[in-house]
Amino acid sequence: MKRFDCIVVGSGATGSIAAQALLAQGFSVLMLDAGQRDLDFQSLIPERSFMDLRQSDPEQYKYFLGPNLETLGPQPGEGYAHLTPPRRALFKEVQRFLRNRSETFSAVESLAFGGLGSGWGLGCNVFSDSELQQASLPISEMRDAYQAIADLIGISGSADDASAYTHGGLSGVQPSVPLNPTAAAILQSYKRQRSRFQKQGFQLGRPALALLTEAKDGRSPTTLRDMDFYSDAERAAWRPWILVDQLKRSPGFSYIGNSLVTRFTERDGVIQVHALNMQTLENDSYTCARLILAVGAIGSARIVLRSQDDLTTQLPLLCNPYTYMPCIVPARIGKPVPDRDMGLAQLVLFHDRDNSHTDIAQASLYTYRSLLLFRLMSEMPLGIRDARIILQALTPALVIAGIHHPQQQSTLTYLVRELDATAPTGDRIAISSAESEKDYNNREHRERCFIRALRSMGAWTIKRVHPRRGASIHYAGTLPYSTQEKDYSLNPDGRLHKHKNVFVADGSGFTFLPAKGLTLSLMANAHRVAKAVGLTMRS
Amino acid sequence: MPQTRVEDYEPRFFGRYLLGHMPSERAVNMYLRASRSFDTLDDASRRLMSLAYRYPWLLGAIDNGLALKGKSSSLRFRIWAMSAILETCPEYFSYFSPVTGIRAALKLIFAILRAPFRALIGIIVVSVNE
Ligand SMILES: Cc1cc2nc3c(=O)[nH]c(=O)nc-3n(C[C@H](O)[C@H](O)[C@H](O)COP(=O)(O)OP(=O)(O)OC[C@H]3O[C@@H](n4cnc5c(N)ncnc54)[C@H](O)[C@@H]3O)c2cc1C
Repeated sequence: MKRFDCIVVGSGATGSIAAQALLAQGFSVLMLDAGQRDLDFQSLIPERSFMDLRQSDPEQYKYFLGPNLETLGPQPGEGYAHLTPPRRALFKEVQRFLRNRSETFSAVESLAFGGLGSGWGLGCNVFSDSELQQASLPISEMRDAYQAIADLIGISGSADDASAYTHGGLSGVQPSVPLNPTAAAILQSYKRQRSRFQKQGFQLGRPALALLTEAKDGRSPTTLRDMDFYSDAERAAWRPWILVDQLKRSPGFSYIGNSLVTRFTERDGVIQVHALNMQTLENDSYTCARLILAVGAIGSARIVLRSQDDLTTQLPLLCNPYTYMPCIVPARIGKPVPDRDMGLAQLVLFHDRDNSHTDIAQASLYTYRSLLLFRLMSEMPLGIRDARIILQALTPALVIAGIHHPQQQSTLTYLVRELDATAPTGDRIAISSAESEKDYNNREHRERCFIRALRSMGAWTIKRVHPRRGASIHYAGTLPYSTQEKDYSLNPDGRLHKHKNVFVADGSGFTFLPAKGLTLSLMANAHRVAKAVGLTMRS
Repeated sequence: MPQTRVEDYEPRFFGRYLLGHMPSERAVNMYLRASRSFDTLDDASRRLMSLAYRYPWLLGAIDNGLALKGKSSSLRFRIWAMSAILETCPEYFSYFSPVTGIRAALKLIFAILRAPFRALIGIIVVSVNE
């Protein structure tokens, strides 16, 4: 059996970066990955703009509603409701192999090639020094790693009031895409009363997105087809699979898909990794000098608990509370919509109470078009026909604000492993989640501040929607960083305590989750952990 | 007897209500295909459906009433499903694309003025048939 220097588990944002960093240091890497692919949609979606397709493609129902119109049938869970059929492919085989049980929390996990990053909204944020500290991440290593990731994936953004919260001090940032006119109206209102908003702690600007506006490394700039929720044909959006496909051409890299890692053992420093072949359900095992888990915070906790045969320990779980609010900008009713546009965040509004970068909440503002009207109709207090007529007039004026709140460590949200005889792995994860009264009051207060600020910028909130906890799909903190050698925690380099050669490169170690897109930080952290693993190999 | 099969006239009936004229055969067939995974109509929806078949002008009121008093009703779900199907038919693009200028204002005002009357009648009809 071939022995590898390192096994990286997972091909998502963190796994792909860890593998790349290890290869760059000259180590051989085997990537074991559930790696489910859905090739059905790629060939279904013509490379044309949203408006063009809507007017001319008789087969469009296949990617807007699903080839078998499955969007209209029963839905697998709340976290999935707003995902388009091509993006739902992210969750292929999840219900079968990654069992979860919870009354209070919707965990969204992926077994896809490229993981959740195959559908992420591309929103990038650097954490401030104080946020890095609270998350137990080393400041200067993270700053270097942020730049390395930005250079690798390509980020577009603007120099404006929000940039300290988005791309911070990163260099080489490409210009933002043109602003949608409805978002431009909000930005103009903000600029007119800028000092008032800033006194209240609000900063508005363009988001930093992992979206190319200039060609880079064989990838094309976006042509603003407005098909961001359906297709990645241009490869302007950075997705982890783009990197893994590249790595597959490197001599030191091997990839095995359809491989569900179930547990590991470590004896005399040698690691044996056990995996289930997802097609045949047969067990395989692999040997390596270093194991790097990068399967997401819930996934890594599951593998670690299973490796210890542990059915009792409660592990903490961090997840940003999330609220979304449809808003109307009355000044834009009846105004024309641009032919070329994008469905990703147009603006980001930060609420930094005392402008100290320590306690921040973030609202991302999206204009609404390429998700089709039917998704909104069922939520309106109107008959479907009247809802359609009203939405036709309101679409140019419609903005969705998605608010993320910060999440501190708490004993109220945790996961535990349970037996489940019906699961191929024989177990499942049970998640319990609650919010303290203090957090609830903070969140309510903050959201009211956002509503007032948005109204002053010309965007009137119609409704506030609080999806179940977990809906932000930002998870971390299950195996928190600790300088003490204790069970179920990581040392500052990502090594699992009480193990010599097992590392975790996803967000499991974070001890705080700022209200920002976490993925850029996940990738920077994976890069840093992979470098630390390299050092241990050399010594 | 509970209705177990979606009849051919159902998509035509909903299509006509949503568009103001008969939907295309393609849209009808798509609805029939999608309906294989629909739940059967609940009792109240079945009663409302037969009422609407007898008095087609009542469907708009019932639809508005259900939006307020029966959001999870299987009848509302079916009207919504037909609307989603029509939205993905290029021939009905103009029914779902943004309207601009004075037309937008007029459409909005007309729909906003009409909706409360429809909703009022709808709530009464829906309540009586609960
Ligand atoms: C719709 C959507 C929008 C989002 N928008 C944003 C955004 O704008 N900004 C932002 O910062 N974040 C966003 N996120 C979150 C972001 O996608 C995730 O934080 C990030 O992708 C997590 O990466 P990861 O590598 O930690 O884990 P994952 O992406 O979950 O990757 C896990 C990998 O491990 C594999 N795997 C899992 N279990 C096993 C196993 N047992 N054995 C073998 N392989 C396994 C999977 O196949 C996958 O390849 C969004 C997510 C979604 C779904």
